[in-house]
Amino acid sequence: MKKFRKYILLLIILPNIIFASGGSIYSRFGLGDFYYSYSARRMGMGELGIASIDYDYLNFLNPASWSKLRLTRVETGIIYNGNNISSNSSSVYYSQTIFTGFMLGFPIDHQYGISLTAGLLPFSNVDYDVMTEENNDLTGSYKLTYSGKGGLSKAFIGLSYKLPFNFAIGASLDYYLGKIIHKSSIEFNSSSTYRDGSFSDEYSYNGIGFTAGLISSNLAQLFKLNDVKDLRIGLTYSSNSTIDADTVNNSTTIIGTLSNSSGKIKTKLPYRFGAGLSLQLSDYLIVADYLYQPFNQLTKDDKHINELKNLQKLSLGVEYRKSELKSHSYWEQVMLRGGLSYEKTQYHINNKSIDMIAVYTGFSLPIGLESTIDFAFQFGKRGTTANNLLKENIYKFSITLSLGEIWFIRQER
Amino acid sequence: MKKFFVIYKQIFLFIILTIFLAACNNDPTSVGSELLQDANKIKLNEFNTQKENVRLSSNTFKKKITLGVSDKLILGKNSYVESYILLSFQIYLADSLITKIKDNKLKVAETWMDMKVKYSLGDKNLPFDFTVHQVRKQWGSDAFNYDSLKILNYDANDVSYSRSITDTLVKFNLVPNTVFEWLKYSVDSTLAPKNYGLLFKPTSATQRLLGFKGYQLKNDPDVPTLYIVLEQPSVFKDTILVSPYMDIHVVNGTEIYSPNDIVLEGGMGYKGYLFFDLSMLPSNIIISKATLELSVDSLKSFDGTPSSDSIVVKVLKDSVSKSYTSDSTYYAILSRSGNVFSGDISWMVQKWVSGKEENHGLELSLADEKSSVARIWIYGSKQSEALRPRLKIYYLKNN
Repeated sequence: MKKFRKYILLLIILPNIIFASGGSIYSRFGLGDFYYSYSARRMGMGELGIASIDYDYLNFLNPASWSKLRLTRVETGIIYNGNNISSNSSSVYYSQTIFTGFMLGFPIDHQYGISLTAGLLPFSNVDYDVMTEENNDLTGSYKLTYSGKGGLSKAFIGLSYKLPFNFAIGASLDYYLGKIIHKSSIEFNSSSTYRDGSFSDEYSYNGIGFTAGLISSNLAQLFKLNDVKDLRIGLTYSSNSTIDADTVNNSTTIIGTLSNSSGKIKTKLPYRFGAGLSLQLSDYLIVADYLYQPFNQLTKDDKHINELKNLQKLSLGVEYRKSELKSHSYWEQVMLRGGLSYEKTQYHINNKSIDMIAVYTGFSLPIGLESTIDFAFQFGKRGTTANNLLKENIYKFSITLSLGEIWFIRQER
Repeated sequence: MKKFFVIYKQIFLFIILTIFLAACNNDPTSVGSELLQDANKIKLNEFNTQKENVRLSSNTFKKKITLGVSDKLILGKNSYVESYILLSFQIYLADSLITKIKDNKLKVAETWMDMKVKYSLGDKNLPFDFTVHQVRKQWGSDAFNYDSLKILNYDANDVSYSRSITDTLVKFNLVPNTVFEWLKYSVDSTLAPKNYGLLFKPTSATQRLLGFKGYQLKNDPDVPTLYIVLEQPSVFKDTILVSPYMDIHVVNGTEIYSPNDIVLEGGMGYKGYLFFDLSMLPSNIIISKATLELSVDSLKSFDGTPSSDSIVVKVLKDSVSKSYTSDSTYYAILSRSGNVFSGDISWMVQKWVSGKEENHGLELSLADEKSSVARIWIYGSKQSEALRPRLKIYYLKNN
């Protein structure tokens, strides 16, 4: 355990390191950038893994995957997000480190695959800070700054259940909450007689939805694929959600900051559908996934957002994990991962869709009984500088602590 | 496996460290600003009451002002106003002088007053003269006004002589006996009638006004000074200087008839009321600049020296009672340039448009209304578009 202290220490210290915060102005549109994976374990293999059924990992995309859970689990981590953003004329590097929340999983009945899982996870992220300098005859030169911060989190509680023929289903009740602040300010020349001002619109969101998932039994037997140890398909569906937002408009004026509550607005978050395939070949687990979310249906205060179109993501991942340990060698228990993904993001700006391609890698180090510390790295390219758009090189690094413990042992009389 | 993993881990950590050590940017940059469409940007908009056909009303009203706290004393008269001065002296003498007065060994050889001119209104070639009378009744500077003056008891005879009036100094002699009576009273109140001071009245021929420095808490060489030359024949001669310890000027004038124009007048307490209906302005805006401009009718105005070149603007809570809002200690100042007074009233407009204060209009008054008798005539709401009061508002709106 001693040798992992440094990693655990890193996990604790990293969120406290002050990184310059910022990100892409793409996140100004809609509810921002979405997280598909909170953990290094999934990030290492392309972020999704909808059909993967794990006994030592809590998959948040598909509640059916909890049905094989063996031990009570706690998972938490951090993600460092570096973003090198380029326009036609210049570029900038921003970074941000976030705490990825936590998940708790309790196996209740192994025979029926009943597990109770709950958690609080980041769901979307808004983070941009852009400045432009303009000039007019009346006021002279002035600076306009636009920034946005915040995002939504998802708190959930759910159950899994094993159906006849080893099909697994699961469902969770999702509660979306969070605050997004968009701020815009104008700063005149110091010699100007015009006064600076700033507006900030605060949206405090809360709303309910649900997620349901299904993972098939091992289809390898059905299709008589002898070389395949395990073959499953999985489906997941998150419902449409109407998320209420209390809106407060603040303006910084000569008489101080004025707050004006403009009431509740409704944001309709469209459903999310995902389908995946998982294939276990010897020590290799291969996953292929597809995710779809029709963001053209997202409305804010009954208004569609022109810059949002339907999201589609395809990912492919592979995990190497020794299935039969021939010895108690530590290195035999190490897991290695790799993956890639192609995403047609929800952003559609200046008549051009913003696409992203990414590669992933990662590994897990065992730190005890069904406990690991997971590392993952993602390198992605999003967007283009054509049509006055932005091209981003995205570097994500994630560390997750995944701990399994035996709880609630019944005393035999 | 171990060897492979060690190499893999080292590459992995190298990449991560490289990223962590990459320089991050703290400040906002222009990268991405191209994606901000004009429709989403903050806009500076102009709202000019002159162009927007805003409902506007104005008038003149009178409010009591306390001249006892004025730093000037004004004497004289013209076509619309006359002003009187009351001065009171308290004389303290050395014990040696008190003994000599009691023993009737001293006399007042000569006494005069120097009054340095600090304000004037009217052509200096116009006649100016006054008479000085001994007051016979108690008065105070707190609430004394023209009505109090009408019932004030004072001697009819003029105790001044040899008056000399220049642009900078008014000098005159006082009848020595008058001052000697004061000295006797200060020594022993049974020896002479009580000293209630002097009343200065402009003569009927006077056509201009002069102002002098009023009572100051600290010694000021510019306040009017009474010189008393005491003499013990063939023994000694001494001059003592006495400054007034209480003073006031009292103003009376003709009523102003102005159904619409704004007439601001010092001394009389004439103030202006001005209202702009700003309901056309959108909500949730930031006032970046709001300039109030008032045009002066120079033909109907009478300005002094120094000029009444500033107007105080206060926010009214009630347009009928003309009461102020709770923050009336804060005000805006309009400064004069040529025939236009202008100044920034952004915070007042911001209060109205934010709903922090209901718009009941503004009160306008001369900044020196207690220390001048100027009449500044401002074109009102019924005048032509170019002359009527106007408010130019520049506001920020978030789109």
